[in-house]
Amino acid sequence: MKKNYRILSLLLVLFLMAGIMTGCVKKTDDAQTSGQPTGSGSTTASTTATGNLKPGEGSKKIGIIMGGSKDDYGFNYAFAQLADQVQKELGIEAVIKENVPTTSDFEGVCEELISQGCKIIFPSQFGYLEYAHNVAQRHPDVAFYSFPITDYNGGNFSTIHGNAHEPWYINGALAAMYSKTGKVGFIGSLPIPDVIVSVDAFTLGAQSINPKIQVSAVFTGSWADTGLQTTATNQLLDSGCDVIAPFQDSVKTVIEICASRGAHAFGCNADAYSLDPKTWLSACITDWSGYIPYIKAAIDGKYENVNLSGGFKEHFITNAKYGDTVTPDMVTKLTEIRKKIESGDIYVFQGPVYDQSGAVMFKDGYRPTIQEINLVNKLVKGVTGKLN
Amino acid sequence: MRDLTTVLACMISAGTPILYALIGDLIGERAGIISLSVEGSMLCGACIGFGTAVATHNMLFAVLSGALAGGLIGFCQAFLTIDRKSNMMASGFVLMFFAMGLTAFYGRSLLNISIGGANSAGLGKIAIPVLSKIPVLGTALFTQDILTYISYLLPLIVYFFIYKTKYGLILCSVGERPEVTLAYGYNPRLIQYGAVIMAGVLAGIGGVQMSVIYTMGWANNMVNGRGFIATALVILCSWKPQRAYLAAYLFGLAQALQIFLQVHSVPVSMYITLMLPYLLTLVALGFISSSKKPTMPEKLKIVI
Amino acid sequence: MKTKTAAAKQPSDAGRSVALGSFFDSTPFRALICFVAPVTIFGLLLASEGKSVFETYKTIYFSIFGSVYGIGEVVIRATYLILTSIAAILPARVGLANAGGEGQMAMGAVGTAVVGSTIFSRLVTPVGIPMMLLAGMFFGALWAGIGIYCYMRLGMNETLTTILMNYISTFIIAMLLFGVLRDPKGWNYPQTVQIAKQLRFNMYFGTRMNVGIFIAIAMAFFVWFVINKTKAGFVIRTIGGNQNAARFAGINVKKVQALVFLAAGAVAGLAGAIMIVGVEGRMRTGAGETMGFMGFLAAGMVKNSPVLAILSAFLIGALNVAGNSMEIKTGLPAASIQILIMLVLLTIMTVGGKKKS
Repeated sequence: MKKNYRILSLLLVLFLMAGIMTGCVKKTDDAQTSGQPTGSGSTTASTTATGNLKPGEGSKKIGIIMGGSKDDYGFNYAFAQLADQVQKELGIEAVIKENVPTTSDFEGVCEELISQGCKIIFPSQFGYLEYAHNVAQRHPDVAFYSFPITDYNGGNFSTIHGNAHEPWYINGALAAMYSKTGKVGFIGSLPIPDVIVSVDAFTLGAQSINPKIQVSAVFTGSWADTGLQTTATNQLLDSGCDVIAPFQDSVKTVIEICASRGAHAFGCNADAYSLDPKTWLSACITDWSGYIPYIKAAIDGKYENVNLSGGFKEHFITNAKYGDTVTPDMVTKLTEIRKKIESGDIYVFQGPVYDQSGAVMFKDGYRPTIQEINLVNKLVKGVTGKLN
Repeated sequence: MRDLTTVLACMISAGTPILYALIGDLIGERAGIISLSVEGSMLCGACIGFGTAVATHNMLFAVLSGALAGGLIGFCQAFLTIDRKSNMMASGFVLMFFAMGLTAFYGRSLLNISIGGANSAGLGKIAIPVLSKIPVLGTALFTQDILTYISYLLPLIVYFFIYKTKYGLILCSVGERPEVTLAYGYNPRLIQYGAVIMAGVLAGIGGVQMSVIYTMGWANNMVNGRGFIATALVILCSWKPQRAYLAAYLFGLAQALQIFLQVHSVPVSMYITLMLPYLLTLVALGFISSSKKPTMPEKLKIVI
Repeated sequence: MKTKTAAAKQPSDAGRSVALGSFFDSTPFRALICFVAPVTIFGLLLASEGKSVFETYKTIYFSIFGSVYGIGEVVIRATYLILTSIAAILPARVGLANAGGEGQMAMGAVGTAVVGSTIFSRLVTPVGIPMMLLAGMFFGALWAGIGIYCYMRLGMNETLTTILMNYISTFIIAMLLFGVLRDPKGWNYPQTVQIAKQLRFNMYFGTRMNVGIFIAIAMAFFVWFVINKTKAGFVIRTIGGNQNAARFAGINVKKVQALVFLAAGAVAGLAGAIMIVGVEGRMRTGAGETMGFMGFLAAGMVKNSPVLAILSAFLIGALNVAGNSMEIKTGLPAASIQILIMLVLLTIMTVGGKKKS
């Protein structure tokens, strides 16, 4: 044990020494900041130094923080595409940080991104919200565009939200056109609001084509347990479903199995058409073109606090490319629905909407607000499965 | 009836990777070493096996490379626990995290790749001529892939090896009384090495089965604790290979039920169904441990 | 040849050339190996992926030592790691292995978050914070209690039981967070209600650093003191040395083991409580993930000495933090820092002091 002690302490010393050697330049800055008596002191110092700049002004980098891996053909993949798009259209660098838990660890990651020059930050998960807000208050020169719609926004902290229910409604319609058995499977991860809204909108969309359609929803409790996804897909197909809509981070497995069993599958939050064009139907994906102008404005020093929320019309969200087997007929029909949604003729959650027990969720003719839709905590009529 | 087939088929396919890891770990534990590193072996096997399958479209190469990768992790475990006398549990954890990092590092380019044309590469399902016609069981049990068929035989092979051959006896003697092994003129250390590497190799093949055949894809940390479960299940089958079927398919059944209960709207909390595999393993472990005196290898008694 | 086991190797070692042998066995050389080997191997891996090795290492060091904030992040991780490693060390001293620090910490955290927003929410700071920490310890011990009950009454292997219980605890917590504990004002997302403001630690230097680290270090020294300097510690050491001897000496081994295991659970729960009271303020799914496992490894690294665990906790914590910036700078997956951490551990296991067989 004695020996181990010495080894360890020496090891630490070595690490420290190496650190000091490589980091001596920055060390001196440090001495200055840590010379400040309290934390608030150093914060105000940075505030005054950059007080004249608007949030995000002159940013050379944007930071994107995601909860999973960017190659997942899912939610995070969409954010990786934002990075590509920003690089292509605005010519600025996008820095991606993956696998950040939705805990206060976010603050550390965010500070790190800011210290590396990111002036615009996109936190992708709801769980980051509170911590992103904390960081935003410390760094008034950094523009934040945080994802779900909440009442946190103010100052340099904007919230953005794409109406995922609109593409999911179209997905539902497409599923109903495809399903010969009248049964459609939905593989959710965890019953967070995004998932609940999606499965509800999906069902409503399907019912708009075939009122008797049944949506069978199961939850796997994790975002990427491919083993469980396999079991779920197989069982849903065995129980008579012929179209599967996964709400998972990694949908490759579901698509592969559907391909091998001759069923069709949707994607989730990313265009995975190339995986298997014959099995692929479509997916709800974020349309970044609606957001780019805001990023551009922020870089040009015209940042304004926004509470963005919109769907097809505002170019915040869209449907991925339809699969090869989707006939032109179907495409025409779907485009029609899309146009109606854009013009407001179709409002996805327009009442009457009933929950599973048959009780009224939204009364006849009522158009719930986005906030109300996001607070939906029940499955609509026509879904089998449960949320707890 | 169709439901039964479904559950059985899912049970088999979910249980097969576990069965490989379980049998592997059982061999290791018979020699007195617990390999928590089977988790790491499975991960490496899954990642590298999938990579090879994508690159070569050859099942044999995929299995061999996966087995090799798993075996390497097994070798590290053997070296650390046998030669360096480090804590078996700790080294198992370290190797698991090591494998996790390594596969995330090198498996990145595999994340988006689909295996495409699986059936042409000998990965597809083969129906056994007569047996597959049996109602219910036929489709579930005898319309499977080649690795599953091998896994059917694996516990039997190991059973004969352990109980009917001289080498099996020697393997067990290492776990019970290494002095006896020495007296017979064999080197207990080498045998332990062999057993632990074998554990890694089999777990690696389990990993290949999982990524290439079962889920048809590679995802980060896709093994997700199945190696640990396999280790726990070794105790459940009281170190007897013939009980491995029971133990592994118990887990498979639990996972099949996870979804089955949800599809059929059984009024059980979703979270209870999700924790079923772990819960069932735990309950079964308690049941076995309390009802019978387990026939634990002597050497393990010191560790456990 | 055949008989060359590890034990039989000792004499041949002694027979080696004294000067050379003593150098290769000497501590500085081993420490050097522990530093050079992982760094070299990891460097090779980086090079094989076409990343600049020097740049990557520079990033790693900058992120740890480059700013007060970085140091603060390390300190926060080290706080949890010290406590979870103690949770592994204590049972190891009486011949048990607790791999359930993960679940115990999470349970402690969830318990703290609940009492902090309900029954304790009106307490003033000097009473409230100790009560919160105690609550965390209570819930951690409760979860450990199930594990030790399984071991004592049902004869189940405690390591595997606690590992399985880690998985179960994540689902129980998910069930609670999506169900009864869900914050009604939390936009329907899975999180508990925020704990009362006066029950939070202050944070210093503009970082997330708080007094939790002092509690953790004090706990490490306290455990060291109890084990080495008190009568209870003597009992623990006796059991750790030889259980049969302890039994003959009239010690109720099982009772002591159970108590020590509960204490370990309490310490892990304390880590959870500090997490909630310190940086989190409310419980979310995934809070404190992998800290329990890493703590177990930190304990294994120092052969179960509570004071040394402080060092290993800082080492693992620092590398953990470095992983984040490494990913941001070089685009490597964050999990790859685990390769470096584990390489360090593997080398320490390989060249570290040999245990007597």
